[in-house]
Amino acid sequence: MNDRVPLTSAMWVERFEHLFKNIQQMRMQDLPFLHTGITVKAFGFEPHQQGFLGVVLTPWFMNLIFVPEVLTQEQVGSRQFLQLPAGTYDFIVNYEDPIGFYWTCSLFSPVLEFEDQQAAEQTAQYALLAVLQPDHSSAKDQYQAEKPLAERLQQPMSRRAWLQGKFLRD
Amino acid sequence: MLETFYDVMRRQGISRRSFLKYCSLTAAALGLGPEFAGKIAHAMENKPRIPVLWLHGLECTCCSESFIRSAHPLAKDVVLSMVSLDYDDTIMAAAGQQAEAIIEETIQKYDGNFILAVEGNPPLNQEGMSCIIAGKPFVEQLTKVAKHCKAIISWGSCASYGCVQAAKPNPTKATPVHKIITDKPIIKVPGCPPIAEVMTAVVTYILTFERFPELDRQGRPKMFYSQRIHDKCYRRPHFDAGQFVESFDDEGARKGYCLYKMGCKGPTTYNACSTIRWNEGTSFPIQAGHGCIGCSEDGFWDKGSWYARLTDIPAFGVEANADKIGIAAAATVGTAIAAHAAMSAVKRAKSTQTTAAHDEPKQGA
Repeated sequence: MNDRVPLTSAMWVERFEHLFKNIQQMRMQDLPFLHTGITVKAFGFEPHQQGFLGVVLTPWFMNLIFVPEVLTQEQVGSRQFLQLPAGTYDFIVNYEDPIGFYWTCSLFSPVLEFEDQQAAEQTAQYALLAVLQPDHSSAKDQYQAEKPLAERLQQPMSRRAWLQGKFLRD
Repeated sequence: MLETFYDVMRRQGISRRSFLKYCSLTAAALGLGPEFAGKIAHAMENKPRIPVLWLHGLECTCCSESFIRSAHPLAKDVVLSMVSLDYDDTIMAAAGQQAEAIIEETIQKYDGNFILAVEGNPPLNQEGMSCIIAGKPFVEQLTKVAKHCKAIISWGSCASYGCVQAAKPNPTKATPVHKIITDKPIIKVPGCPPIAEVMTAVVTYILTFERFPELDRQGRPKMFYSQRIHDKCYRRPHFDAGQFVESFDDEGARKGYCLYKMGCKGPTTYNACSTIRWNEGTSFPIQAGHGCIGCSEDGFWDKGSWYARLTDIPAFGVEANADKIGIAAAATVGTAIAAHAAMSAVKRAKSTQTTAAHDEPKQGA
C-alpha cells in the first residue's frame, strides 16, 4: 500500500464514505452529539499538490482531509502544515485501514448547527472551494488595510521603494 | 525626555540582539508575520513607556504565576521590564503606604494614559469586606483606578467571568470586572490561569500598537480564542474514528483515545491549549491523560462535574461560534448562509502562527 497514485478521486470518495459509515455503525451508536439528519458524504479528493484534497461530512464532524501521495510514517496525532491558496493550515495525522495515513483539519464538530443534509453538503462544497482561493482577511492584511494612504505617503521613502510601489503596502 | 520601552530594557541589561529576537517571536505569536518584527521594534524604541497598574482582587495569583513563567526566558525578562509593573502587590518591592502612593502617583502623572490589568474580581456583598486592600474594599480601589486608566485587561477567568469565587451560590457576590466598569474598553483573557505566552503577547500587542487586538463578541482576543481545544486536539483522530476512553486506565486510555466519555470539555472550550500548550509547549491536560475542564469558559464551576459527559447539546451549538443561526440551505438566503458558514470555518481553521513561534529554538538572552 505504498502506491496511491492510481487511485482516482471517485475511489477516494468511496473509500472515505465506506470507512466512516462503518465507524458510525460500529462505534458511534447513541452518542448524544450525532446529528441524526446527516449522513456520511465525501467531496472532492482531486489531486492537489502531492496528494488528494477533499472534505468529509459525517454526523459528528466536517473535516478537510488531505491524503498525501507519498506515505510517511508519521505518528498519529502529530501536526503537519499544508500550504493552501487560502493560507497555511495545520492538519493532524490520522490513520485508518484500508486508507492508511491521512491528514485532517477540523471545520465543524459536532455538526449540529446544520439544519439538514443539504445545508451541510453545500457548506462542505463551499469550504472546499474557499481553501483553494486566496484569502485577504489575515491579521496582517487587516492591519495594513487600516492604514490610510495619506498616512503612508507621509513616511519618508527611498526612490527605489517609491518606484516599487511601497507606499501601497509594507 | 520620556523613557521608551527600549530604554527600560537596555537598562535591565537586555542586549539589542535579544531585544530584536523577542520582537520577531512576538510578531510570530501574534500571527503577524516576520515583517512585523521591525514594526514592534520601532514602536518599542520610540514610544514612551506606558505604565501598567496590576490590581489583585479575589484571586489565587495563578495568573501572575503563569505570567512570570512565560516560556521564553527572554519574553519574560522583556515583558517584565517593558511592562515595568508600576504596581503589582505580588511582585513589587514597595509595601504599605509607599505602595499605595504609587497608585496615586501613576494616576496623577499618567491620567488617562496607563493600562489597568486586573487579576481577580471584587466581591460586592457585605459592603465588599471579603476583599480589603489597604483598609478599603477592593471595589473602591478598582473603580477609582479604572476611572483614570486608558483600557483594562481582565486577566483570567476571575476577572473575566467570576470563576470559583462566583460559583453558586456566590456568597460574597464576586462580580467580574466588566459588570462594574462599563465605560472603559476591556479585553478579557480568560483561563485559570491563562497561557503565559498568550498573556505576554496580549500585553506586547497593546503596548506597542496602543490598541487592542481584534476581539470576539465576548471581548477575547480572536487570535488565541477563536478555536476550541477540540478543533486542534492531537487526540482528535480518535474522536473522528469513534475511539473513546471508557474508564481511566483502560486499554483506550493507554492508547491515547479521545476523552469525550470521561467528561472532556474540549468541544465547548475556546482556548489555545491544544496548539500553544503549557510549560514551554511541553504538554497540556489532555496530553497528560485528563479531559479538559473548560476553565476558560464562563461559569465553568457551575456546569456540573468535570467528569460528566457533555450531553447538554444546545451548549455545543450556542457557544460554538459566531454563525450560530441554524445553517439552512433551501432558498437563496440559505445558500448565502452556507457560503458564509464555510468561509468562517475555513478562516477559523487556518493555522495561527503561534505554533511557528514555538518551533523556534528556545534560548536565553
